[in-house]
Amino acid sequence: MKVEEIKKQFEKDLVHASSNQEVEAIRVAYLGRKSKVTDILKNIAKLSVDEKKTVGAEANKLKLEIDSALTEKLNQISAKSTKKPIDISEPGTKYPVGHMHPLTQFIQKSIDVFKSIGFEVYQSPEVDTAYYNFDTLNVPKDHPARDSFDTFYIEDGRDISDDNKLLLRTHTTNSDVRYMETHKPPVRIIIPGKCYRHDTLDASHEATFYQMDGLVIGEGICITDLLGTLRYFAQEIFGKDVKTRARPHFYPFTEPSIDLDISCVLCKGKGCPVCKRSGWLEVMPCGMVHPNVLKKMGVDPEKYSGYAFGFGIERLMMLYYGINDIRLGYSSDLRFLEQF
Amino acid sequence: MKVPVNWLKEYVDFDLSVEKLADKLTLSGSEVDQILGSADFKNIVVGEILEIKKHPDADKLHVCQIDVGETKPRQIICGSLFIVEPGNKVPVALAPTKVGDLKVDKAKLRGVESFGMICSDEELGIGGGGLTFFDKKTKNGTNINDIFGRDAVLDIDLTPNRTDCFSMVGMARETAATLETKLKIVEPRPAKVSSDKKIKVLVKEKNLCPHYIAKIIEDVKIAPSPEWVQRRLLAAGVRPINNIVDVTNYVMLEWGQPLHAFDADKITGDEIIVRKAKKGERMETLDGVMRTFEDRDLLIADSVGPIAVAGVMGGAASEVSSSTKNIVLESANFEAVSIRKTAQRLALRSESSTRFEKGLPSRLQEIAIERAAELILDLAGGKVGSNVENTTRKDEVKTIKMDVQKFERFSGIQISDKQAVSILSSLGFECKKEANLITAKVPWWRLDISIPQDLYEEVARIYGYNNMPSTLPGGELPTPEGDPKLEMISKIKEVLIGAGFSEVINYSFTSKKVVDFLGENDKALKITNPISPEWEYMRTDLSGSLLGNIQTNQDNYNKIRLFEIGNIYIKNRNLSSERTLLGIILNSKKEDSFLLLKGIFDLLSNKLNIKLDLEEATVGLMETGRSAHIITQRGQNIGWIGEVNIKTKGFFGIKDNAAMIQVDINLLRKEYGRIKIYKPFPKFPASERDLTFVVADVVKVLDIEQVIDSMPSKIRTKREVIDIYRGKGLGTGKKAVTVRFTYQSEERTLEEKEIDQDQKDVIKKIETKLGGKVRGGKAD
Repeated sequence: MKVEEIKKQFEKDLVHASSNQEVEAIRVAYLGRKSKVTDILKNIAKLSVDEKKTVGAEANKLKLEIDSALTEKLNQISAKSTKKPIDISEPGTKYPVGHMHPLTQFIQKSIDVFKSIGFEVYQSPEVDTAYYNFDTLNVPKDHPARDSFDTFYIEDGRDISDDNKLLLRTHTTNSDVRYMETHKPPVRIIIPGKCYRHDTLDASHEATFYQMDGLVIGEGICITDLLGTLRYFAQEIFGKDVKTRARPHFYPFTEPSIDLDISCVLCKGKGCPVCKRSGWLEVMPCGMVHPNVLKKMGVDPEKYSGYAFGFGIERLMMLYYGINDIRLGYSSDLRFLEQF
Repeated sequence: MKVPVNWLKEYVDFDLSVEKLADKLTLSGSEVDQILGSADFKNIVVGEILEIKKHPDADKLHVCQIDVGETKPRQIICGSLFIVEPGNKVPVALAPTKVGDLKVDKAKLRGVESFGMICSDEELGIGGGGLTFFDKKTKNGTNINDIFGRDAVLDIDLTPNRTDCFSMVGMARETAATLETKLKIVEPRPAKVSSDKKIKVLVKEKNLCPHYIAKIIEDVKIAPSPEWVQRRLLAAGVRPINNIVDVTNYVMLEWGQPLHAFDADKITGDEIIVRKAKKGERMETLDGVMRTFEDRDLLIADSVGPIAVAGVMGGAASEVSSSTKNIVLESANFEAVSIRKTAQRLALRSESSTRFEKGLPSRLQEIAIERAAELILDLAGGKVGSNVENTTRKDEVKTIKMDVQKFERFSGIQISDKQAVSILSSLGFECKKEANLITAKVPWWRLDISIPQDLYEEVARIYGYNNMPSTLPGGELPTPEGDPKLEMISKIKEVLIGAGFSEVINYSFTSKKVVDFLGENDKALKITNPISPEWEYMRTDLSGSLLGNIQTNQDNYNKIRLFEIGNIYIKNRNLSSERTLLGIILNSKKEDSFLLLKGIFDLLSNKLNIKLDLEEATVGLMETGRSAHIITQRGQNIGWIGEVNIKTKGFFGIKDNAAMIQVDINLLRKEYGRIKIYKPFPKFPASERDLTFVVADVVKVLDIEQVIDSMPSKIRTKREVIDIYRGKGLGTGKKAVTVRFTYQSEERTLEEKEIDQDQKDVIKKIETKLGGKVRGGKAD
């Protein structure tokens, strides 16, 4: 068939098409693998050089014409759509919605920040021995923190002064020496986890809480590294306008020990009941690892130094989400959970 | 520690606002918790009570007429918390104003108008805890700023290592170093001995009492202390009693050494004995309470019995009273832990015990007794005897070397030798410098300094942490190890939350009742000192927690879908072994809870790319015939799934049907981490055929699947049960199971014939093996 004839036939066929499907069928018939136009192009090799030029050009032109005619036809058909408008303010189909616990969300956020500066996550047991929880951390045997007013003990037939006495860890710092038993500097870890302290429960006190500890050991690790890391963390979590303040403090396992405060996120440092009008919130205890603790880790304090920090997740989480009762975190109440 | 600012100024020169001082001290290590008595009071004035009447309509209210320096008296209603009488001058807030956060406005109370408020110490935030009565000479209407404003008190949270700061002198040293100003502390000279009276001292417990000094002072005149002493004591939170007791307290506040004065004439015999108590021994303490002692308690005794609880509180019988003439002054050092234990056991934490609990240097006892003698001579007169001293411990003289270059490496800041020496000297260290090495002699009052890092801290904190820049740790990076367990946990949470489940975190504690119900008494770790009988054990399972969570939420929600990934704790002889479990729970009013949950199980195993099988089994809390073990391809049992049985629902008070999964995360993790490998799309089209078999209800889906799988075919690539129907048209005890078959070849397009043949074979096999009949036919 000649190009001209095909074109006429095509135009006839197209007039009668009234649906997308019919238009598609015409497309197959005229441009498909076994169509007339394709035939012409396939057989072009058999023609003379002159014929090749003219027939090839005509066939290609026809192909484009058919294609644009088909597209236009489709547009015409869709313009005539018979679908009625719907009320788009009707509710959408409901899909199930699950919620991640705000503690997990906050821990995950924190992990992400520390990971971005080269930290890895480590985990250690919640039921641990006095050795890892206290002894290795330079906490004297008669320290008040070891009293049964402060620490939960397990009935294991051992005396409270026994190194192997079982207890519920009071901080995730119990990881520090354990980790170093199998690792050599340089070390950069964070240790999130559940901890326990013997406390009477109220809106701001819990016997169960999450802590995130950090430990960095290497050559030339210094106080400004510690300050830099925690200032970076505070700004990543609470925004670049948050201010920090470092105060000297005392912990047995660090020397020097520091408390890092952040400007109150509620009143922006102006003073409110939450920050006891000081404008500051005490959130991050930290310090340079005490040489006695380094020795327990099998690390030479003459060659290496390190820093450690450990903060309560609940306090930060409560500030972050405006939660006013610490116990809600363990309530399993969906009225609480579904808000996150 | 309460530090009255005016008192502080006696020892150190400074001229800056109280707020600035508080900030600076906080940043150098003495955290000022609050500033008392320096608040700027607006419209709070001295008011004289002219008249008090009962409120006509309220028993507990009074109507007062108060002269507040205005032309007319104000009518103010007050409660009956404080007893006031005409002539008293009290702080009065004039409406409208604010007292702290409290708004004071004109108000009508039960029909009577009130134009202000009488303010308690607590409301004013000035400590004390009662109502302040002003001197009768104070002019009515005087703003109380003029009275309190000049007497600010810093309430300081000290760290337990800084025993030396639990004193005005100690805080003065800190202030001077922080502000770089001069210190004006004078150590007292030994008082001139004017009496040869002595009392013998016998220390039986030298470990618990390394130092004891006793001194007799005769012929003292008991009287109230002068106003300046009383004022200072009150500001520091100590109640004035009489000149002798006040001096012991004053010296304790000034130097940090607790002292005690006995009425010498009430001591029997000529000897003071420091000994342990006999079990059951009794004595009345100064607060009027009869105390019974344990044999660990350290006592001060005379020849008859105890006269004081060492370091904690004196006895009532030997108390200095208005009739006292001669006293024995005690300045001693007691071992910290022993004092703490006794004070704790007797619930008697005193100003004295808190200081001993932290440990004191021996030099302090000598200074304090001389200072007390000097003040007593001033305030009460008398003749001073010589010291009787019993000592077994001398303060250690420590010198520490500090390498300035090492300090720079440790701190990250640059500092000159001169600057370091200047900071250390300002804190009382005697420094010598050779090349880069500073040799520092530690002052006697600093028991907390023993290693070079302690010196680093001194220099760093006075330099100021906030003056230091931020850096990040440099040097070699640790090799990342990765943690597939954590990665898998995140993945599980993501999948479950996406499927509509909410994460809970439960307490690890559980009750004996639950442990008994689970039958895990042998496995559960018991807590020696639980805070509640409901929390006596550590949980051995997540089911107790999650079943309880359904109960918590069922009154507020119909559909509850929860999960927890948490630890359980198993007793292993006398050790503990900890495992991380995944627990998933849901409820349903219908009979579909098991299958609802099985869907989640399938979803999880798909997303984790772990093939898991269910194996019918009896699971403790679950319905028989509706529970299964979860088995890995290696045949390991890693958990269970089931519908909660009636007994368990009853125990936990669960209303609807519920189903639960519990999986050991550590075991699951061994299967995790298989990477999904891409397969190219098949070149040839697939055909799907659905067949519906009507079988007896007792025939399991698994039976049908096994029959199909027993006849392998090269072209049949998949079979899947897509529907199960029971009911109309089938007859009782029957069900229709629809299976979708997929046929495909990698080499060619399949022909109808081959597929038909396989379908026929399958149908025949099912008919003969399971007695099923086929309904319907081709699908495409």
